[in-house]
Amino acid sequence: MLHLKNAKVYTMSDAHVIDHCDILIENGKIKEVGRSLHSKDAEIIDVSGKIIIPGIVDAHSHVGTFNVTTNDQNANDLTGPNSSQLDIYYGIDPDSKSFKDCCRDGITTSIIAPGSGNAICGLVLAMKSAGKTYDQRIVKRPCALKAAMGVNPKGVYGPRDQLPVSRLGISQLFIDYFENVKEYMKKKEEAKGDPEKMPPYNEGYEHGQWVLERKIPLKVHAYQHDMMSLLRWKEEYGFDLTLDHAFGASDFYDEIAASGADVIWGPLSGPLFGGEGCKVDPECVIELDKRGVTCAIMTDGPVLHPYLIITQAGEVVRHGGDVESVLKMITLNPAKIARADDRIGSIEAGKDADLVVFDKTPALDTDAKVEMTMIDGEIVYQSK
Amino acid sequence: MFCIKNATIHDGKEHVFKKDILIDGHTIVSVSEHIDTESEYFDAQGMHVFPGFIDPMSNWGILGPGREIRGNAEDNDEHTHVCTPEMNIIYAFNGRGIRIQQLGAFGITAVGVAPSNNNLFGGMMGVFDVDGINPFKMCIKEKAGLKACVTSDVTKFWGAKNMMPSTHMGIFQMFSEQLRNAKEYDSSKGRDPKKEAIREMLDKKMPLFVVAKKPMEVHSLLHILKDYDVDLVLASGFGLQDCEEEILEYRPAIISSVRVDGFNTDAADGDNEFLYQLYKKGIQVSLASNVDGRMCSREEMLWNGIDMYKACHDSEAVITMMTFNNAKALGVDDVTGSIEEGKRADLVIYSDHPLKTYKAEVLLTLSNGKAVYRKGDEMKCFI
Repeated sequence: MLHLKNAKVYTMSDAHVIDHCDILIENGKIKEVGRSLHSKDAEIIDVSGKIIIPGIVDAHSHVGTFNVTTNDQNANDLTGPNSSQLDIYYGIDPDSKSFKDCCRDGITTSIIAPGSGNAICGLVLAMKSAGKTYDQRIVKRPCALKAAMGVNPKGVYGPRDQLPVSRLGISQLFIDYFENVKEYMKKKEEAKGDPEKMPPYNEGYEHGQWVLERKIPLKVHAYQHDMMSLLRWKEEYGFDLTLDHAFGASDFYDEIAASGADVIWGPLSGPLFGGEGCKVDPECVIELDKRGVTCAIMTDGPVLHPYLIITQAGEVVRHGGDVESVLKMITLNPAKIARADDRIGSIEAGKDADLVVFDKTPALDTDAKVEMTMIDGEIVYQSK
Repeated sequence: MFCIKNATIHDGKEHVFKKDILIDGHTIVSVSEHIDTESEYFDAQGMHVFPGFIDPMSNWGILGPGREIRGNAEDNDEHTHVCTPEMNIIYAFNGRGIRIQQLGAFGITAVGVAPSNNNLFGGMMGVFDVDGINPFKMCIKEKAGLKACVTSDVTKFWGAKNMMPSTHMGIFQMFSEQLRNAKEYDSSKGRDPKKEAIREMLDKKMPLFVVAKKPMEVHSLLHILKDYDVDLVLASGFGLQDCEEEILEYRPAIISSVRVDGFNTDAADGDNEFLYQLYKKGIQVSLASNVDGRMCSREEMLWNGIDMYKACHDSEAVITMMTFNNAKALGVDDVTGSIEEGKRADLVIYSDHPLKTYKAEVLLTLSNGKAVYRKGDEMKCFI
């Protein structure tokens, strides 16, 4: 048993922020959270004066699928614009150095998606930055089907003069896909288990079925008005939806809040220029959060280094965000988006012991430093 | 006349004091206690005033693909010859291209603009205002430096055309040959604008800015430059801990850039603690939003400052690296880069210290005395 003593804990639960708080950890899980806890034979770690938050969850990342040294990539299979049959599980190198960087910077879980080169990209999973085996590190698989509107699929297939060259083509791809999935589901239902009457097995449609049955959300690279197209299809096909990147969401507060879609904003790293990313509005998550939208912030790793998830959270604070709410956007909210908030995202009894210990308050104090990162009760990073 | 009262002033030269600032038109005319004036004033009680940040080696204001519809290159990238030292960036700088970025929203009031990293010698840099339309009116200094690049950006670009330099051998052979030829250049025997531009640098009419990202590039560069007396500004700051001895001997100025881009593997070797030690040893260290020719965001200059602050906890040194040292590198320290009487009124008022807390927001930014940003003005959208 581990006994962390006397820290200021941002629990992200109904208990909010607890000063002089202890945390008891046993078998990789949080056993108890509160003031002046008693333990027997526990290893005591004095964290007086420290700030503890739940392990950071990066809501949109590609770590482990790009090797930035060799330029190898396993994120985009650019052989056709619909690769819905693919699963990012087979594209991740669990030994990638990026995961060590995540541990160093406090990211304990990443939602890892295929890249946005195709319109329908493939399955997404959520996994921890460290652990015993690859499979044991996986928190949720699949946790979404990734898709992409806009400039990425256009940029891949446009120069080949293949569909989609434009947003017209991308939209038609989405519509055709979901119509085909519906048809496939109907045929399966009509077959009533008779193998003779079953439609030929189609893995891509199987994955689409999970989306239409709302077992997993559709996770879509979307900027500006593309978000509105998606809200229409969300309504029409009844799927759950996360709007990823979401630059320009501040133009559509009413529509997004009414839709029930989640918003994952970022990464903040470009100038103001034409094209889909032309509206740069990190503060949109403050207003959307107030209106009850589940908002998160992403690194798009390895596009941005993992520590920039906190820097971006800091920029939201600079725009007027309240620190606790903003920290929720990199902990509990993305855990909910991964549908893994039963295990991660907050510091509560029964949850995985994924914690980050800082010397100061992250997203407020610019020089807040990660002193320790813990995953499943194991210390995976400790500062010198 | 405009007065900033009761401000905590960080002057850009590591001094912090509480005084008033009186501005007449474009110029700071007085920095003193209790300025009595009838003029318009801004009460900066509890706030922090800094010299405007200077982003020294950017591509702000440059148009080209991704930014306009036609053309084959960014306008700072004349990649038809590997050596284009005679090119002058002022002809590629577009006022509207930079004012739309509203750099003042993050406290930047002047920028150094450089040719791209594809050529060995890219051309001559300039220093510009962040707000305006006419580049010639916005120009603070023309020919502020000669830009060279000795990284794999050059070998990849020219190597792909099967042209030299496709290796670092080629880079440094060509580099030393260009210097040698320029040294021997005699204009009376016929005009050669390439040699002339490099000769101007050798005659110390402008400094030499060299992008070098790897220690091997810095070693080679300093090895060749041993034979020349030039004002060198080394842009990158990556992996320099392996070149400490040469740096302390040659004493170049250093510009370091932010490590935002996860695909920039060279930047992973950046060591801010080491750069701070160099700073303490009298090396002129400064910070940039980027030196990669990458399109970056206006936040990155400050983020780089925050990263440096995390490493050294010396906020005033970091402010110097973002202001006065950049002005010195670009040769405009006589007109901007610090809050002093007689200098341009380039300054930013923050609600708190932006290197220390994310709560700090810009309330007012003045560039050449003109309010280029007030809290609430933030431009969000390009179209």
